[in-house]
Amino acid sequence: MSINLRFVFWILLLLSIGGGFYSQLQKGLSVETNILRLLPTTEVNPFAEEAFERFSEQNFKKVILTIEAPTVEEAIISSKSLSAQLLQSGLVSSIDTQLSQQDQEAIAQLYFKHRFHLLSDADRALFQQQGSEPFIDATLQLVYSPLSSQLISLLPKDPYLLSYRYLQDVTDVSNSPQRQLVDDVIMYRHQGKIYSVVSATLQASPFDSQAQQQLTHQLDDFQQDSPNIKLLYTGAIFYAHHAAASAKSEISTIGLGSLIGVILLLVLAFKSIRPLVLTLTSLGTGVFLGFTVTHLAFGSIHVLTLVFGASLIGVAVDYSFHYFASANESRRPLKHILGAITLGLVSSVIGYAALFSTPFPGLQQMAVFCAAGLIGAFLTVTLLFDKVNVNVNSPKAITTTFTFLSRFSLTFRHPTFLLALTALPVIAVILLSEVEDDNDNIRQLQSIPPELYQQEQTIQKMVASPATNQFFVVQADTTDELLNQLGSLNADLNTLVDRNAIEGYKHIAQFVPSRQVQDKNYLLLSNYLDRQSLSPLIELGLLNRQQLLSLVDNYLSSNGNHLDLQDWLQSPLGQRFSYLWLGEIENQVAAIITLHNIHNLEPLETLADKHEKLYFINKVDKVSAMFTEYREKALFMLGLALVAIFLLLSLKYSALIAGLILLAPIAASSLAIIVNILVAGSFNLFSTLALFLVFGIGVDYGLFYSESKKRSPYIVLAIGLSAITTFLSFGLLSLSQTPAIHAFGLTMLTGILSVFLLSPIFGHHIYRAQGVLDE
Amino acid sequence: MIQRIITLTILTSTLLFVFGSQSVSAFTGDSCDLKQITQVLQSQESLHQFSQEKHIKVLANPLKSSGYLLLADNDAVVWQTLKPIKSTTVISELEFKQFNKNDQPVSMPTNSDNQTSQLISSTFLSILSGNLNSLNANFEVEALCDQSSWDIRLTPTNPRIKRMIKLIQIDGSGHIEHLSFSEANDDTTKLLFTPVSEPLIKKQLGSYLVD
Repeated sequence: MSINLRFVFWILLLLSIGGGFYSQLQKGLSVETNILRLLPTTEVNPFAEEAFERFSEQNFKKVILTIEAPTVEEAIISSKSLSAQLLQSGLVSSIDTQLSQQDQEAIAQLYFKHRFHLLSDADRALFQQQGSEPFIDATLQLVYSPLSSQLISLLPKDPYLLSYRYLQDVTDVSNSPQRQLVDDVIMYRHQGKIYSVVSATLQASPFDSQAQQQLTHQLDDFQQDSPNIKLLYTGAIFYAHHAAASAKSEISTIGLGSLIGVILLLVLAFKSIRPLVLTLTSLGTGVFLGFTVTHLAFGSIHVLTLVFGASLIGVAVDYSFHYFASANESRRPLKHILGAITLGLVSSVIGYAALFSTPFPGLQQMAVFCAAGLIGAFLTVTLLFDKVNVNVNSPKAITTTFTFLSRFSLTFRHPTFLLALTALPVIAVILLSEVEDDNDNIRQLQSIPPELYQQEQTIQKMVASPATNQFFVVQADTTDELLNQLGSLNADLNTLVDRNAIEGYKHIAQFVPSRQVQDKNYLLLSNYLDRQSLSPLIELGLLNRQQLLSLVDNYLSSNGNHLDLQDWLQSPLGQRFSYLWLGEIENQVAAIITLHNIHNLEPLETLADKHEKLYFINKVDKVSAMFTEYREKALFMLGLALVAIFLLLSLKYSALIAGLILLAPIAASSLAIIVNILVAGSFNLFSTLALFLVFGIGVDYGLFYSESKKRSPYIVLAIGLSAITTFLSFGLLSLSQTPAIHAFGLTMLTGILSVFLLSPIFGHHIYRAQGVLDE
Repeated sequence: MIQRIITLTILTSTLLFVFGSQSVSAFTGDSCDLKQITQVLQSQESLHQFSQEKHIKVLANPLKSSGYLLLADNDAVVWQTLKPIKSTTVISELEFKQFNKNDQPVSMPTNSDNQTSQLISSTFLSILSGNLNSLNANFEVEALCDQSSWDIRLTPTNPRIKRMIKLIQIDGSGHIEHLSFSEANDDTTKLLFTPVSEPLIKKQLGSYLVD
């Protein structure tokens, strides 16, 4: 193909990427920061998956703010002004810790209206076992207590104070002994300090970067304006904000760091501006293609993909280095290196294809991004570079340095050393089999700043907020069946509480019993509204004849006047607890049972197994288990890719050379595994991902040797430059605050260093196997 | 978290003292300060018999009850209604407990959640135990004394108390004799105290203070 024709193709490539990018731009580019979007579906049942998604969507919008103040008064004033500011800013849609007088009355009225249908489990049992007497006693006690009440005026219409008792039961659903309500503000005393609590629901998604910034600014301003108080907060939005901010800074440090390294190396090694411009063009085209293809394929691009993607520079630059190193010897170097870089690209793409085959959206994105990026860089080298005339003359000092390094490595060229290297994979496999599954924790995906975590811990200790990743989902055909099921689970759930597996639970049937239960309550009460049951109240003049008659009338006319779930959901109370209700999923209705302070998971799973339509959702553990599974799967896929590459290379060369090309990356990867396990104590999914890159790069190095017809110092130069850029980009990656990326970087560092040091040795043996004479 | 709030509506109403509004005695003495009266009350008898009469607007007849009141040393009081139904309430700075006729603890309208109810129960405690000095913080106090007896009118200044109580009147001599409360909605409660010396009952009531 002529140089000009290739140039036309390159321009066409650029235009089509531009076109694709433009079409994406029209639809709106979206950079995803929600960590859950990276995760595969963990539930076999799509219903449970959907349930988790709905619940977490609501839950992610919650924020809890606490104010530590020196006095109760200051805590109250601060939390009121904070609530007002948040509402005024439009950032939050509601303050969940506030119920206006009007709201409270609406709730009390709703329960009063349905008083003949509502009994707590305990009260129902009390009526059944002891009749009306305990209720009469309680009423009398209240009436004659020195601290009496306006509830007395309720007596003619509700002589057993059932509406009050039910409401009391509802309010006891989650009760914390240190909690106080002062002047409509929730207060805690914790370790001798005074806290007030404001919990709110956000208007926008917690992953909306504008909302993140506005909220953090507002809270910072609030803290600055009130130096006496200390503001603590927790919620998904704060973690998402931190993750987005640190990812952004990491992309720029890693991207910029490796870019500066590449520029410096190019200028030093080739002493010309053209290689620099061309290399940057090749990298730019690669990143551009990677971004566009990924965004096109997934509809958005995850911020972690970009972080990993930024390190792609270290690999993509290999092609350019090889080209320009070879340009020292030839004016048209492409034909000398085309075989090597094509095979390099193919083997890398095989590796990424293996990665893509995992059903893991995050890994798939990274695989697509890297494969497309490499193809973009490769095409630029092959189509564009020859168009520009480049005269390269690498300084003697640099080639000598690299040649010296490779001579040093060659002191280990004895075949027994190669034999000794084969022991490394065995040791690595043994160590891997002993790695605990725990190191695949999902939390590695997120950098958790200690002060946010500290705040969350402090808040969690006071406010018994429900666990966000572990809960039950109940499924039924109808709403009523659902309420019935929830109600019938109470006994089992109470056992869990008694056994201290959990400290509490919450579901909608605690607020709205099923119709069946309500009808049972109604019928039960018919026994206790007669003159005889109520006689103590009548004798004391608390209830007169007329009032008794209208009470009975009232009771009879409210037959079938059930408390309806929809009415409750629309009440101010239901609005606060709407997250317990999932609504319709796949023609079924569903609800959540939230759990507080889980101590033991096993009995929860056992309970779910016992009931057909009860699911225990345990996202964290499931994903972590899945990470383990994928780590093993990814290693297996890497093995398969290895076999495929071996077969491919055996066709081109001999099996011996193919073996020599692959042995270097295998030994290096094994060494990386061993070092990681011995030093860092873990080897997780993300380290495994790094092995894919170590392999890609290691195979590249081997190919550079096997494709060359004579011993050339410029191969050592190309490999040396490539290794240094890879160190630069991945060394920076190992500084990442996100544990997953850190692990990735560390593996890359050890892997590439080993490959770099081993490559001259294997190069030597490859030369000998191909009959290339010693210098 | 929110559920607790709902209790507020009820609790605020629950804990209203519904004490009587009619003036206790037409006493005309010189103005004096609470310190003097507090001193007099230091040596009052610890066990009193009480009778209580509540006038509630929605009820035709007043609610009458009677029982014993123990003023314990450690600033706690035990209030036991015997007629028409036995019930016992223990109030101290730290706690508020109630027991039913079988002496089982009951969780009827308690007030541990609510600062207003705490304020009111501590007011009640201050009055009964004779620590009148502390009332200055939340009430405007008018006190009149002569050689043997005294008369106090308390008008709430604290807005939280004000929402529920209009006026508290207390009079007595060596001990508190009358106490009356009038509530914001005009329900009233009138109490009459008589010191008694019944060691057995004193022991019985004292047993509620021991956990």
